[in-house]
Amino acid sequence: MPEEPMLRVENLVKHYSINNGMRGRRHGAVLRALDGVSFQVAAGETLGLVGESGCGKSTLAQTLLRLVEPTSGHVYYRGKDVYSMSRKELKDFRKHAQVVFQDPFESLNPRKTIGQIIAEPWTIHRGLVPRAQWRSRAAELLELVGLRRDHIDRHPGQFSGGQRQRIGIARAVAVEPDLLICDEPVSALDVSVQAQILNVIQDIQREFGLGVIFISHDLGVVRHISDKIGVMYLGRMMEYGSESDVFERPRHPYTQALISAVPVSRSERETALPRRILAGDLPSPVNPPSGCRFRTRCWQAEAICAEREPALETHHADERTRVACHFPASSIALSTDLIPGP
Amino acid sequence: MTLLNNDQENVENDSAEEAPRLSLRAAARSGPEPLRAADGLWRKVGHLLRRDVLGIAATTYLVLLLLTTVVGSFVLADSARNTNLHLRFVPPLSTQYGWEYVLGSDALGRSFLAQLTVAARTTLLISIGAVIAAAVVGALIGTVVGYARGRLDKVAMRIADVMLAFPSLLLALIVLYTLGAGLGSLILVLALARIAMYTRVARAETLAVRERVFIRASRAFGAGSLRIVCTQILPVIANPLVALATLEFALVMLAESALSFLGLGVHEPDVTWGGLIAEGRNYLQHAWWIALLPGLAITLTAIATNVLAELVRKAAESE
Ligand SMILES: Nc1ncnc2c1ncn2[C@@H]1O[C@H](COP(=O)(O)OP(=O)(O)O)[C@@H](O)[C@H]1O
Ligand code: SF4
Ligand SMILES: [Mg+2]
Repeated sequence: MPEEPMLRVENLVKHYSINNGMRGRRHGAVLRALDGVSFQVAAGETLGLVGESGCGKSTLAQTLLRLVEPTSGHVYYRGKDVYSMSRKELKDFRKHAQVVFQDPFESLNPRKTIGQIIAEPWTIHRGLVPRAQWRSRAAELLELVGLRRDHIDRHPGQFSGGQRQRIGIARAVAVEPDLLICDEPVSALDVSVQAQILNVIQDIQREFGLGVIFISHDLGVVRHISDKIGVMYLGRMMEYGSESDVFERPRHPYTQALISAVPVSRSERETALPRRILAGDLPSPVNPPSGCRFRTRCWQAEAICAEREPALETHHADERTRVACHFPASSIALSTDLIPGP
Repeated sequence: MTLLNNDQENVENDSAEEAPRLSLRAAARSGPEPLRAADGLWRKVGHLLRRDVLGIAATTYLVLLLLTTVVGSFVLADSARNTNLHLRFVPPLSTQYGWEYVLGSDALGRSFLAQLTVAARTTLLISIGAVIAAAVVGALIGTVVGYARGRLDKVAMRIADVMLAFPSLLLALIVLYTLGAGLGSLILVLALARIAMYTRVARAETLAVRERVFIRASRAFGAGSLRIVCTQILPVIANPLVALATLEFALVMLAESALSFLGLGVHEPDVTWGGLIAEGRNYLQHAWWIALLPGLAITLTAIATNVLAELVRKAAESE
């Protein structure tokens, strides 16, 4: 049996029932925010998760941490099922798995000082850091994320978005986790600040040897930080492979479309993909298309795509990338088939 | 990357030099709401006061009232007790019998200034005590059920509805009959009647706060519900609750006066403004001041706290 990875996610499903007044007619409808997702993260490894807004990325992050209960499926942290943990085990798990949220203006309590915010996990997990050292340790963490020691007595309102995100990162690593989930940590920030925050995350990842799940709707952001990439669409994983495979030999039409939209210099990729602009809107997760969920926007769709849902699997014996498509681009064909970009 | 073992001295020097420049930059970056979240509620009330004549008058009155009450209850404690049958019904606004009789005397010849002051202490003590008790209990219940939702929430809100609809006089009779009259049971009655107000407000505020991301962050750290309620939610919803408590003060004081007037309040030797009015009712013809002055005190205090409450509400809403 292969060695147990740090985090193993198996067929995770989260359905929200939406039977509130707004959709009176659809009494009892379910929204399939997450519809059977599996992946693994090893210690020290960074998994990038990409997908359009609304495809279930945040739901995945919250369900992983059991901040919301799943509909079905399993998450194993070091072999232990997170969803059958006792209260005490769960508390302990939350010392090991931490999260950085998307909105830096919402994720810090406006009434607290930065020192109080960073020390909050230590008030919960007594014995992690002795009380006498809270201040000095918080100050060290501030420096670690590139802020200054004397910021410690200020309130979140006195900081910019980028600075707040640094504070959020400092708070997340205060418990010395070994898994860090970053849910679009730079999406709310100015482009000029994004790279700095990415660097902070990457530095911390290296320094502590963290496993990282990095979520973004922007492939370009995920690229440089990730070892593995998972591409999500409407609550499903469409392609899952190493960073270089997914970027250089994207097999799924959806991945190809996403990558073709990322601006790259020609030197970076010899044969640029033809630019694919996705037609149509994202279908509703309440009523996803039959068969392959991507078929309503896929230029390769055939009859079978509406009938059978393709499984996420490898298509050749000697490759590791897994693709959920009946007609994945073959890795060899790609470079000759496609016309070089303009 | 900035390392953990950064040279301490360097950092200190650095910050001393850079402090003004950096703080300016931070303020500029934080956009439309610099420093606002950190501003205290009372500081903001002070800010609003500067442009408000009525507010200044009300605050001045309340400060003077508090000072008089605190100082007076030491200085005048004896004269409040000293009867002098030669000096019965001395009319107010004369210093003929000494400054203690500047507000006249009562049926037993006691200094009425001293009576008013001692009554003020009891009145304020009961009203403030009841307001604080109701606010603390009500806010805790409201926050807990608002955070927990579900059955507990539904049941609590039904009880709150019933409590607010329950006639407070009937409640007072029941409690005072079972516990006996006294300072403690009076505070209990007045608090019980108002707890539901705080529960409702605290619950509504909690519902808005509980979905915010920093609450989810606390849960991600493993914080339990009670910890989240006390350390994360209550500090955020404190301002509207303080505003409500300020507004409630006048109401509670009037309720206390009504109970005392009906003879359901504290008993001798304790007396409140409402009790003084009840006493003065017997001498309305020839000693009008005995009923009028405490009535005036009640009215002025109620108006002043309401003016202040309006300012607090404005300050709390300007967040
Ligand atoms: N608490 C909830 N109740 C009902 N629907 C939800 C809830 N949270 C998320 N959703 C829905 O689930 C889908 C996925 O949302 P989300 O995970 O936030 O996507 P992403 O983070 O990829 O943008 C969306 O359609 C969203 O409207
Ligand atoms: S299964 Fe069919 S519709 Fe879906 S991505 Fe592949 S080709 Fe397109
Ligand atoms: Mg999201």
